[in-house]
Amino acid sequence: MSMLKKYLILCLLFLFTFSPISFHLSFSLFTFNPVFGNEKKVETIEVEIIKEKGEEEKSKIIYDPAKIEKARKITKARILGLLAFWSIVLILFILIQITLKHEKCLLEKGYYETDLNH
Amino acid sequence: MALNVDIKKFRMGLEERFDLGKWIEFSRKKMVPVHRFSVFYYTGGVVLFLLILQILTGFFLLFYYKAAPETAHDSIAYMMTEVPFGWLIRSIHHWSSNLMIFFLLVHFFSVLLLKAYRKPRELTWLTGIVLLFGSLTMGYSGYILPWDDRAFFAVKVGTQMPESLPLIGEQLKVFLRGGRFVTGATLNRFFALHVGLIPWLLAGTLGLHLLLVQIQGMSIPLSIEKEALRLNKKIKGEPFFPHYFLHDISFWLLLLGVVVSLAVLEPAGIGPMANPLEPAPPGVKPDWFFLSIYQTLKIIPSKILFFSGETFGIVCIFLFVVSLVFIPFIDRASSRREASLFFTLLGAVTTLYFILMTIIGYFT
Repeated sequence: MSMLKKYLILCLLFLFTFSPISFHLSFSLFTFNPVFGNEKKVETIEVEIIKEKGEEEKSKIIYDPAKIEKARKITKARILGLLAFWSIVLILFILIQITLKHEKCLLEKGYYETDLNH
Repeated sequence: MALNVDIKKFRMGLEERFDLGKWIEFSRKKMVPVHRFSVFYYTGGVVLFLLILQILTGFFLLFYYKAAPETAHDSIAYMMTEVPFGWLIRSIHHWSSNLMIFFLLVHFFSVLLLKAYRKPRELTWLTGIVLLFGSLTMGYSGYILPWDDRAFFAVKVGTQMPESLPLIGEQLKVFLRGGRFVTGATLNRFFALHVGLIPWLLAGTLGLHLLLVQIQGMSIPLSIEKEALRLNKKIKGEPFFPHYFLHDISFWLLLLGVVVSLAVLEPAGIGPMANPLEPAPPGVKPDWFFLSIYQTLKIIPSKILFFSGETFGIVCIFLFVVSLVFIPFIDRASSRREASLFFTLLGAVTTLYFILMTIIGYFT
Protein backbone atom coordinates (compact mmCIF):
# COMPACT_ATOMS: atom_id res chain seq x y z
CA MET A 1 0.00 0.00 0.00
CA SER A 2 1.43 3.39 -0.94
CA MET A 3 2.30 6.00 1.67
CA LEU A 4 -0.40 8.33 0.35
CA LYS A 5 -3.11 5.68 0.78
CA LYS A 6 -1.96 5.02 4.35
CA TYR A 7 -2.02 8.72 5.07
CA LEU A 8 -5.52 9.07 3.63
CA ILE A 9 -6.78 6.16 5.75
CA LEU A 10 -5.30 7.81 8.86
CA CYS A 11 -6.99 11.12 7.96
CA LEU A 12 -10.35 9.39 7.43
CA LEU A 13 -10.04 7.53 10.74
CA PHE A 14 -9.25 10.84 12.45
CA LEU A 15 -12.26 12.52 10.83
CA PHE A 16 -14.64 9.67 11.69
CA THR A 17 -13.48 9.70 15.30
CA PHE A 18 -13.60 13.40 15.88
CA SER A 19 -16.37 14.68 13.62
CA PRO A 20 -19.26 13.27 15.76
CA ILE A 21 -17.67 14.84 18.85
CA SER A 22 -17.20 18.23 17.22
CA PHE A 23 -20.71 18.03 15.69
CA HIS A 24 -22.16 17.24 19.10
CA LEU A 25 -20.20 20.05 20.71
CA SER A 26 -21.20 22.68 18.17
CA PHE A 27 -24.82 21.46 18.25
CA SER A 28 -25.02 21.89 22.02
CA LEU A 29 -23.26 25.24 21.84
CA PHE A 30 -25.54 26.75 19.25
CA THR A 31 -28.85 25.40 20.49
CA PHE A 32 -28.16 26.12 24.18
CA ASN A 33 -30.24 23.04 25.08
CA PRO A 34 -29.23 21.70 28.47
CA VAL A 35 -31.62 18.70 28.41
CA PHE A 36 -31.71 16.09 25.63
CA GLY A 37 -34.54 13.72 24.63
CA ASN A 38 -36.18 11.88 27.50
CA GLU A 39 -33.50 12.64 30.01
CA LYS A 40 -34.70 13.71 33.40
CA LYS A 41 -34.60 17.42 34.12
CA VAL A 42 -31.70 18.49 36.26
CA GLU A 43 -32.88 19.38 39.70
CA THR A 44 -31.47 22.47 41.33
CA ILE A 45 -30.55 22.14 44.96
CA GLU A 46 -30.14 25.36 46.84
CA VAL A 47 -26.98 25.45 48.88
CA GLU A 48 -26.21 27.94 51.55
CA ILE A 49 -22.53 28.70 51.81
CA ILE A 50 -21.55 29.81 55.25
CA LYS A 51 -18.43 31.94 55.24
CA GLU A 52 -16.66 33.52 58.09
CA LYS A 53 -16.40 37.29 58.10
CA GLY A 54 -13.47 38.45 56.00
CA GLU A 55 -12.97 35.04 54.34
CA GLU A 56 -14.27 36.26 51.00
CA GLU A 57 -11.82 39.15 50.95
CA LYS A 58 -9.00 36.81 51.96
CA SER A 59 -9.64 34.37 49.11
CA LYS A 60 -9.81 37.12 46.49
CA ILE A 61 -6.55 38.11 44.83
CA ILE A 62 -6.26 41.85 44.94
CA TYR A 63 -3.97 43.62 42.50
CA ASP A 64 -1.07 45.08 44.35
CA PRO A 65 1.45 47.03 42.21
CA ALA A 66 4.17 46.55 44.84
CA LYS A 67 3.68 42.76 44.75
CA ILE A 68 3.84 42.78 40.95
CA GLU A 69 7.03 44.85 40.99
CA LYS A 70 8.50 42.47 43.55
CA ALA A 71 7.66 39.54 41.24
CA ARG A 72 9.38 41.34 38.33
CA LYS A 73 12.50 42.22 40.29
CA ILE A 74 15.85 40.79 39.17
CA THR A 75 17.16 38.74 42.09
CA LYS A 76 20.50 37.02 42.68
CA ALA A 77 18.83 33.61 42.36
CA ARG A 78 17.33 34.55 39.00
CA ILE A 79 20.69 35.74 37.65
CA LEU A 80 22.34 32.51 38.81
CA GLY A 81 19.52 30.51 37.22
CA LEU A 82 19.97 32.43 33.99
CA LEU A 83 23.74 31.81 34.00
CA ALA A 84 23.15 28.10 34.58
CA PHE A 85 20.65 28.04 31.72
CA TRP A 86 23.09 29.82 29.38
CA SER A 87 25.88 27.40 30.27
CA ILE A 88 23.61 24.48 29.20
CA VAL A 89 22.69 26.36 26.00
CA LEU A 90 26.37 27.03 25.22
CA ILE A 91 27.43 23.42 25.88
CA LEU A 92 24.69 22.18 23.54
CA PHE A 93 25.63 24.84 20.99
CA ILE A 94 29.30 23.76 21.05
CA LEU A 95 28.30 20.10 20.66
CA ILE A 96 26.13 20.95 17.65
CA GLN A 97 28.96 23.01 16.14
CA ILE A 98 31.40 20.09 16.54
CA THR A 99 28.92 17.79 14.79
CA LEU A 100 28.40 20.39 12.08
CA LYS A 101 32.16 20.76 11.55
CA HIS A 102 32.47 17.01 11.14
CA GLU A 103 29.56 16.96 8.67
CA LYS A 104 31.11 19.84 6.71
CA CYS A 105 34.38 17.86 6.42
CA LEU A 106 32.35 14.98 5.00
CA LEU A 107 30.65 17.40 2.60
CA GLU A 108 34.04 18.66 1.36
CA LYS A 109 35.26 15.08 0.92
CA GLY A 110 32.30 14.42 -1.37
CA TYR A 111 30.35 12.18 1.00
CA TYR A 112 27.26 14.35 0.32
CA GLU A 113 26.06 15.87 -2.96
CA THR A 114 26.36 19.63 -3.43
CA ASP A 115 24.40 19.97 -6.68
CA LEU A 116 20.95 21.47 -6.35
CA ASN A 117 18.09 19.31 -7.62
CA HIS A 118 16.47 22.29 -9.33
CA MET B 1 22.78 -5.86 23.46
CA ALA B 2 19.17 -6.68 24.32
CA LEU B 3 18.37 -2.98 24.08
CA ASN B 4 19.97 -2.85 20.61
CA VAL B 5 17.80 -5.72 19.41
CA ASP B 6 14.68 -4.02 20.76
CA ILE B 7 15.50 -0.72 19.07
CA LYS B 8 16.15 -2.59 15.81
CA LYS B 9 12.80 -4.36 16.13
CA PHE B 10 11.09 -1.06 16.88
CA ARG B 11 12.70 0.59 13.84
CA MET B 12 11.76 -2.34 11.63
CA GLY B 13 8.20 -2.13 12.91
CA LEU B 14 8.05 1.55 12.06
CA GLU B 15 9.65 0.94 8.68
CA GLU B 16 7.11 -1.78 7.90
CA ARG B 17 4.18 0.49 8.79
CA PHE B 18 5.21 3.94 7.61
CA ASP B 19 7.93 3.52 4.93
CA LEU B 20 10.35 5.58 7.04
CA GLY B 21 13.20 4.92 4.62
CA LYS B 22 11.43 7.02 1.99
CA TRP B 23 11.30 10.01 4.33
CA ILE B 24 14.93 9.66 5.41
CA GLU B 25 15.98 9.35 1.78
CA PHE B 26 13.88 12.43 0.93
CA SER B 27 15.47 14.55 3.69
CA ARG B 28 18.97 13.40 2.60
CA LYS B 29 18.32 14.27 -1.04
CA LYS B 30 16.65 17.57 -0.23
CA MET B 31 19.11 20.38 -0.93
CA VAL B 32 19.21 23.95 0.31
CA PRO B 33 20.98 26.58 -1.83
CA VAL B 34 24.06 28.23 -0.32
CA HIS B 35 24.74 31.87 -1.27
CA ARG B 36 25.20 35.30 0.34
CA PHE B 37 21.46 35.65 1.15
CA SER B 38 21.12 32.16 2.67
CA VAL B 39 20.76 33.62 6.16
CA PHE B 40 17.21 34.72 5.30
CA TYR B 41 16.20 31.07 4.83
CA TYR B 42 16.54 30.61 8.59
CA THR B 43 13.97 33.30 9.46
CA GLY B 44 11.10 30.95 8.51
CA GLY B 45 12.41 28.21 10.83
CA VAL B 46 12.91 30.74 13.62
CA VAL B 47 9.26 31.81 13.31
CA LEU B 48 8.20 28.16 13.50
CA PHE B 49 10.28 27.64 16.65
CA LEU B 50 8.83 30.74 18.33
CA LEU B 51 5.32 29.62 17.39
CA ILE B 52 5.95 26.26 19.11
CA LEU B 53 7.21 28.17 22.17
CA GLN B 54 4.06 30.29 22.07
CA ILE B 55 1.79 27.26 21.98
CA LEU B 56 3.61 25.53 24.87
CA THR B 57 3.65 28.59 27.15
CA GLY B 58 0.10 29.45 26.06
CA PHE B 59 -1.12 26.09 27.36
CA PHE B 60 0.43 26.79 30.77
CA LEU B 61 -1.17 30.22 30.89
CA LEU B 62 -4.55 28.69 30.07
CA PHE B 63 -4.36 26.63 33.28
CA TYR B 64 -4.69 29.82 35.32
CA TYR B 65 -6.20 32.49 33.07
CA LYS B 66 -9.90 33.27 33.59
CA ALA B 67 -11.43 35.15 30.66
CA ALA B 68 -14.00 37.45 32.26
CA PRO B 69 -13.75 41.18 33.04
CA GLU B 70 -14.02 40.49 36.81
CA THR B 71 -11.38 37.76 36.86
CA ALA B 72 -8.98 38.26 33.91
CA HIS B 73 -6.83 40.93 35.55
CA ASP B 74 -6.69 39.18 38.91
CA SER B 75 -5.85 35.83 37.35
CA ILE B 76 -2.83 37.41 35.62
CA ALA B 77 -1.81 39.10 38.88
CA TYR B 78 -2.16 35.70 40.61
CA MET B 79 -0.02 34.10 37.92
CA MET B 80 2.65 36.75 38.32
CA THR B 81 2.80 36.72 42.12
CA GLU B 82 1.62 33.34 43.41
CA VAL B 83 2.08 30.62 40.76
CA PRO B 84 5.62 29.15 40.86
CA PHE B 85 7.48 30.41 37.76
CA GLY B 86 4.21 31.94 36.52
CA TRP B 87 6.04 35.25 35.90
CA LEU B 88 8.63 33.37 33.79
CA ILE B 89 6.12 31.47 31.67
CA ARG B 90 4.06 34.61 31.04
CA SER B 91 7.19 36.62 30.22
CA ILE B 92 8.46 33.94 27.81
CA HIS B 93 5.03 34.00 26.13
CA HIS B 94 5.18 37.80 25.94
CA TRP B 95 8.73 38.04 24.55
CA SER B 96 8.43 35.10 22.17
CA SER B 97 5.29 36.65 20.65
CA ASN B 98 7.13 39.94 20.06
CA LEU B 99 10.17 38.18 18.59
CA MET B 100 7.94 35.94 16.47
CA ILE B 101 6.30 38.97 14.86
CA PHE B 102 9.72 40.61 14.43
CA PHE B 103 11.15 37.58 12.60
CA LEU B 104 7.93 37.15 10.66
CA LEU B 105 8.27 40.71 9.39
CA VAL B 106 11.97 40.13 8.54
CA HIS B 107 10.89 36.96 6.67
CA PHE B 108 8.12 38.86 4.86
CA PHE B 109 10.34 41.78 3.80
CA SER B 110 13.15 39.44 2.71
CA VAL B 111 10.71 37.44 0.54
CA LEU B 112 9.36 40.71 -0.90
CA LEU B 113 12.82 42.15 -1.66
CA LEU B 114 14.36 38.90 -2.96
CA LYS B 115 11.20 38.27 -5.01
CA ALA B 116 10.82 34.76 -3.68
CA TYR B 117 7.10 35.06 -4.39
CA ARG B 118 7.61 34.69 -8.16
CA LYS B 119 6.27 31.76 -10.17
CA PRO B 120 5.87 28.89 -9.18
CA ARG B 121 5.59 30.03 -5.52
CA GLU B 122 2.37 32.09 -5.71
CA LEU B 123 0.50 29.81 -3.32
CA THR B 124 3.41 29.85 -0.84
CA TRP B 125 3.20 33.67 -0.89
CA LEU B 126 -0.58 33.60 -0.32
CA THR B 127 -0.29 31.21 2.63
CA GLY B 128 2.53 33.41 3.96
CA ILE B 129 0.29 36.49 3.82
CA VAL B 130 -2.43 34.60 5.74
CA LEU B 131 0.20 33.58 8.32
CA LEU B 132 1.47 37.16 8.65
CA PHE B 133 -1.96 38.70 9.23
CA GLY B 134 -3.06 35.75 11.36
CA SER B 135 -0.04 36.30 13.62
CA LEU B 136 -0.67 40.05 13.80
CA THR B 137 -4.27 39.28 14.84
CA MET B 138 -2.92 36.87 17.45
CA GLY B 139 -0.66 39.60 18.81
CA TYR B 140 -3.47 42.14 18.84
CA SER B 141 -6.04 39.81 20.42
CA GLY B 142 -3.52 38.84 23.10
CA TYR B 143 -2.94 42.47 24.02
CA ILE B 144 -6.39 42.93 25.61
CA LEU B 145 -6.36 39.68 27.64
CA PRO B 146 -4.66 41.11 30.81
CA TRP B 147 -7.59 43.59 30.96
CA ASP B 148 -5.44 46.39 32.37
CA ASP B 149 -5.92 50.09 31.60
CA ARG B 150 -3.39 50.33 28.76
CA ALA B 151 -4.69 47.21 27.01
CA PHE B 152 -8.28 48.41 27.41
CA PHE B 153 -7.71 51.84 25.86
CA ALA B 154 -5.36 50.53 23.14
CA VAL B 155 -8.08 48.06 22.08
CA LYS B 156 -10.71 50.78 22.34
CA VAL B 157 -8.73 52.94 19.89
CA GLY B 158 -7.87 49.96 17.67
CA THR B 159 -11.43 48.70 17.35
CA GLN B 160 -12.60 52.26 16.68
CA MET B 161 -10.45 52.41 13.52
CA PRO B 162 -12.52 50.07 11.29
CA GLU B 163 -15.50 52.40 11.82
CA SER B 164 -13.93 54.75 9.26
CA LEU B 165 -14.24 52.11 6.52
CA PRO B 166 -17.17 52.94 4.23
CA LEU B 167 -20.24 50.64 4.19
CA ILE B 168 -18.97 47.89 6.52
CA GLY B 169 -17.21 50.07 9.12
CA GLU B 170 -19.91 50.20 11.82
CA GLN B 171 -20.78 46.49 11.49
CA LEU B 172 -17.11 45.53 11.67
CA LYS B 173 -16.67 47.56 14.85
CA VAL B 174 -19.72 45.95 16.45
CA PHE B 175 -18.51 42.51 15.37
CA LEU B 176 -15.06 43.06 16.91
CA ARG B 177 -16.37 44.55 20.14
CA GLY B 178 -19.40 42.32 20.56
CA GLY B 179 -21.46 45.50 20.88
CA ARG B 180 -21.01 49.23 20.47
CA PHE B 181 -18.59 49.56 23.37
CA VAL B 182 -15.52 47.72 24.67
CA THR B 183 -16.94 45.46 27.38
CA GLY B 184 -16.61 41.95 28.73
CA ALA B 185 -18.07 40.73 25.43
CA THR B 186 -15.01 42.20 23.65
CA LEU B 187 -12.72 40.32 26.02
CA ASN B 188 -14.60 37.08 25.32
CA ARG B 189 -14.40 37.61 21.57
CA PHE B 190 -10.70 38.37 21.62
CA PHE B 191 -10.05 35.39 23.88
CA ALA B 192 -12.01 33.13 21.50
CA LEU B 193 -10.00 34.49 18.57
CA HIS B 194 -6.70 34.16 20.47
CA VAL B 195 -7.04 30.56 21.63
CA GLY B 196 -9.86 29.11 19.55
CA LEU B 197 -9.93 30.34 15.98
CA ILE B 198 -6.60 31.89 14.96
CA PRO B 199 -4.31 29.09 16.28
CA TRP B 200 -6.17 26.52 14.17
CA LEU B 201 -6.12 28.80 11.14
CA LEU B 202 -2.38 29.31 11.66
CA ALA B 203 -1.70 25.61 12.17
CA GLY B 204 -3.57 24.62 8.99
CA THR B 205 -2.01 27.36 6.86
CA LEU B 206 1.44 26.69 8.31
CA GLY B 207 1.12 23.00 7.39
CA LEU B 208 0.30 23.93 3.80
CA HIS B 209 3.08 26.58 3.72
CA LEU B 210 5.69 24.07 4.93
CA LEU B 211 4.44 21.39 2.54
CA LEU B 212 4.79 23.82 -0.38
CA VAL B 213 8.32 24.77 0.73
CA GLN B 214 9.22 21.05 0.89
CA ILE B 215 7.78 20.35 -2.56
CA GLN B 216 9.13 23.43 -4.37
CA GLY B 217 12.34 23.94 -2.41
CA MET B 218 13.88 27.27 -1.40
CA SER B 219 13.70 30.11 -3.89
CA ILE B 220 17.02 31.38 -5.27
CA PRO B 221 17.27 35.18 -5.59
CA LEU B 222 17.28 36.49 -9.18
CA SER B 223 20.64 38.25 -8.74
CA ILE B 224 22.28 34.97 -7.64
CA GLU B 225 20.76 33.08 -10.58
CA LYS B 226 21.94 35.73 -13.05
CA GLU B 227 25.40 35.84 -11.52
CA ALA B 228 25.70 32.06 -11.82
CA LEU B 229 24.56 32.19 -15.46
CA ARG B 230 27.00 35.02 -16.29
CA LEU B 231 29.96 33.25 -14.71
CA ASN B 232 28.74 29.87 -15.99
CA LYS B 233 28.93 28.54 -12.45
CA LYS B 234 26.68 26.11 -10.64
CA ILE B 235 24.90 27.32 -7.50
CA LYS B 236 26.12 25.26 -4.61
CA GLY B 237 23.84 23.57 -2.15
CA GLU B 238 24.00 21.68 1.13
CA PRO B 239 21.84 18.78 2.32
CA PHE B 240 18.83 19.74 4.40
CA PHE B 241 19.74 16.93 6.76
CA PRO B 242 22.09 17.15 8.62
CA HIS B 243 23.72 20.48 7.59
CA TYR B 244 20.79 22.88 7.31
CA PHE B 245 18.98 21.15 10.16
CA LEU B 246 21.98 21.58 12.51
CA HIS B 247 22.31 25.27 11.55
CA ASP B 248 18.59 25.67 12.25
CA ILE B 249 18.88 23.98 15.66
CA SER B 250 21.85 26.23 16.56
CA PHE B 251 19.78 29.36 15.80
CA TRP B 252 16.83 28.02 17.80
CA LEU B 253 19.02 27.26 20.77
CA LEU B 254 20.59 30.72 20.85
CA LEU B 255 17.18 32.30 20.38
CA LEU B 256 15.81 30.30 23.31
CA GLY B 257 18.64 31.77 25.39
CA VAL B 258 17.73 35.29 24.23
CA VAL B 259 14.00 34.79 24.98
CA VAL B 260 14.69 33.42 28.48
CA SER B 261 17.19 36.25 29.17
CA LEU B 262 14.65 38.88 28.13
CA ALA B 263 11.98 37.17 30.26
CA VAL B 264 14.26 37.19 33.32
CA LEU B 265 15.76 40.65 32.86
CA GLU B 266 12.60 42.44 31.71
CA PRO B 267 9.54 40.40 32.79
CA ALA B 268 6.11 41.29 31.40
CA GLY B 269 4.23 43.73 33.59
CA ILE B 270 0.58 44.48 34.25
CA GLY B 271 -1.05 47.84 34.95
CA PRO B 272 -4.09 48.66 37.10
CA MET B 273 -7.37 46.96 36.17
CA ALA B 274 -9.28 48.54 33.28
CA ASN B 275 -11.93 51.02 34.29
CA PRO B 276 -14.06 52.23 31.37
CA LEU B 277 -15.23 55.25 33.35
CA GLU B 278 -11.73 56.60 33.92
CA PRO B 279 -9.91 58.71 31.29
CA ALA B 280 -7.25 56.99 29.18
CA PRO B 281 -3.81 57.02 30.82
CA PRO B 282 -1.28 59.29 29.04
CA GLY B 283 0.89 57.81 26.30
CA VAL B 284 -1.38 54.88 25.35
CA LYS B 285 -0.03 53.37 22.15
CA PRO B 286 -0.65 50.16 20.22
CA ASP B 287 1.88 47.32 20.19
CA TRP B 288 5.11 48.14 18.31
CA PHE B 289 4.08 46.21 15.20
CA PHE B 290 1.06 48.49 14.72
CA LEU B 291 3.00 51.70 15.36
CA SER B 292 3.60 52.30 11.63
CA ILE B 293 -0.18 52.32 10.98
CA TYR B 294 -0.77 54.46 14.09
CA GLN B 295 1.89 56.98 13.03
CA THR B 296 0.59 57.06 9.43
CA LEU B 297 -2.91 57.95 10.67
CA LYS B 298 -1.42 60.61 12.95
CA ILE B 299 0.39 62.47 10.16
CA ILE B 300 -2.50 62.41 7.67
CA PRO B 301 -4.34 65.80 7.57
CA SER B 302 -7.84 65.81 9.09
CA LYS B 303 -9.49 66.39 5.69
CA ILE B 304 -8.43 65.21 2.23
CA LEU B 305 -10.74 66.31 -0.61
CA PHE B 306 -14.23 65.09 0.42
CA PHE B 307 -13.03 62.47 2.90
CA SER B 308 -11.97 62.65 6.50
CA GLY B 309 -8.22 62.03 6.92
CA GLU B 310 -8.78 58.89 9.00
CA THR B 311 -11.16 57.34 6.45
CA PHE B 312 -8.69 58.13 3.66
CA GLY B 313 -5.78 56.63 5.62
CA ILE B 314 -7.60 53.46 6.62
CA VAL B 315 -8.94 52.87 3.10
CA CYS B 316 -5.40 53.35 1.68
CA ILE B 317 -3.89 50.92 4.23
CA PHE B 318 -6.68 48.41 3.52
CA LEU B 319 -6.11 48.66 -0.26
CA PHE B 320 -2.35 48.29 0.20
CA VAL B 321 -2.82 45.13 2.27
CA VAL B 322 -5.21 43.69 -0.33
CA SER B 323 -2.77 44.56 -3.15
CA LEU B 324 -0.04 42.54 -1.38
CA VAL B 325 -2.00 39.38 -2.18
CA PHE B 326 -1.78 40.04 -5.92
CA ILE B 327 1.94 40.91 -6.16
CA PRO B 328 3.06 37.51 -7.62
CA PHE B 329 0.30 37.78 -10.26
CA ILE B 330 1.14 41.37 -11.22
CA ASP B 331 4.93 41.10 -11.20
CA ARG B 332 5.22 38.84 -14.24
CA ALA B 333 8.68 40.18 -15.19
CA SER B 334 10.39 38.52 -12.23
CA SER B 335 8.61 35.26 -13.12
CA ARG B 336 10.35 35.48 -16.49
CA ARG B 337 13.61 36.08 -14.57
CA GLU B 338 13.74 39.68 -15.79
CA ALA B 339 14.47 42.73 -13.64
CA SER B 340 11.37 44.53 -12.36
CA LEU B 341 12.55 47.84 -10.97
CA PHE B 342 9.08 48.95 -9.88
CA PHE B 343 8.61 46.00 -7.50
CA THR B 344 12.17 46.28 -6.20
CA LEU B 345 11.50 49.94 -5.36
CA LEU B 346 8.08 49.06 -3.91
CA GLY B 347 9.67 46.48 -1.62
CA ALA B 348 12.48 48.82 -0.55
CA VAL B 349 10.16 51.81 0.06
CA THR B 350 7.67 49.64 2.02
CA THR B 351 10.46 48.24 4.20
CA LEU B 352 12.00 51.67 4.88
CA TYR B 353 8.60 53.28 5.51
CA PHE B 354 7.63 50.56 8.00
CA ILE B 355 10.94 50.89 9.93
CA LEU B 356 10.88 54.71 9.91
CA MET B 357 7.25 55.05 11.00
CA THR B 358 7.72 52.44 13.76
CA ILE B 359 10.74 54.37 15.12
CA ILE B 360 8.93 57.75 14.93
CA GLY B 361 5.79 56.24 16.49
CA TYR B 362 7.84 54.76 19.32
CA PHE B 363 9.71 57.94 20.23
CA THR B 364 6.93 60.52 19.80
